[in-house]
Amino acid sequence: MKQVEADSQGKVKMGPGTLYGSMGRIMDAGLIRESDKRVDPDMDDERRIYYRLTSLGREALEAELKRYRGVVSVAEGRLAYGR
Amino acid sequence: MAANLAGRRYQAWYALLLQLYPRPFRVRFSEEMAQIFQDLCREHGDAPWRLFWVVLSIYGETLVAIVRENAMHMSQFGKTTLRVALGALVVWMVPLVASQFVDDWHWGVGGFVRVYVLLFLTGIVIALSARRMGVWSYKVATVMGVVAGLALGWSTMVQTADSGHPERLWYLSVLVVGLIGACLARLKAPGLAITLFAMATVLALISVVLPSGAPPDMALRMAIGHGAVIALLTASGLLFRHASLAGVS
Repeated sequence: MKQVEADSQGKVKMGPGTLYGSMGRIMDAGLIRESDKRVDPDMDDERRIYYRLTSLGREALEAELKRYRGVVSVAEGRLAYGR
Repeated sequence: MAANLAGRRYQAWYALLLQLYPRPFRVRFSEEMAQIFQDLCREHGDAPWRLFWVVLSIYGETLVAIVRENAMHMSQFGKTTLRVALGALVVWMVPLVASQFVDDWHWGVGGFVRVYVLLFLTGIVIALSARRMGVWSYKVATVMGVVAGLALGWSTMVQTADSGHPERLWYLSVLVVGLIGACLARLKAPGLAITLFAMATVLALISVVLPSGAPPDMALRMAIGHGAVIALLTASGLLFRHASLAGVS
């Protein structure tokens, strides 16, 4: 929740209800799963639960990024044309 | 001190709020969500007013998420109900078609309606129970209870239609006991065990109190049939009791 707020410079704030609602749907779609791997021993806490992208999740993310890049490219082209 | 007390109160209320989530979601995520809420309360514990507004915003946000999750869950239940209704319709077609070819089959419209209701209720019980079918004893107990209920309901309706003795519809009160008991027990094993024992007791009482009015050989077959259903119901109750002792809720 804090990472999302930081990455969006405070524009996007989510609470536990939104976070876990989304996580439930993403897990049901097979895009993420629980992971046993501990990322940073300094930040670790036995209560923490870690999740990782599945290969399907990675493919979906790459496809979505490709779509965003395409949209941005079209928008920038229109903007340049308008000048 | 006061801040700690307020934080603990907020956490208790949040734990109650989380109970409003559908059960599958609650089982998966409520512990993590409660932990996050506890961490947030600890973080803002030094500023009571800030804590209050943070807690209020999380309550509101979680409530909206609860409504959304329940709406999604309800639509899944609606799909299940539709599937059961269609499945019951397919099975119901069998007696409907068969009655056109069998000479002594004289069911009226009421009889066919009751059969469909029986099939639909059986399907719904199986569909709802399937979510909880973890331990083998719960699965077997459910199948036995459903088979006993279906056999009792079907034979009662056939006999009532054929014999013209409407008082035999009293046997359906056993199914009513089962339905009410299953709802009150919320399909949990301990309550279902009591329900099945109650059904067996009610059936035994009705079998003894209600005169069959049938010839001796038919009365013997009816007694054997009643005994078999009572045995099935009792065995099902014992298996639910076993499931409850195994910790299945």
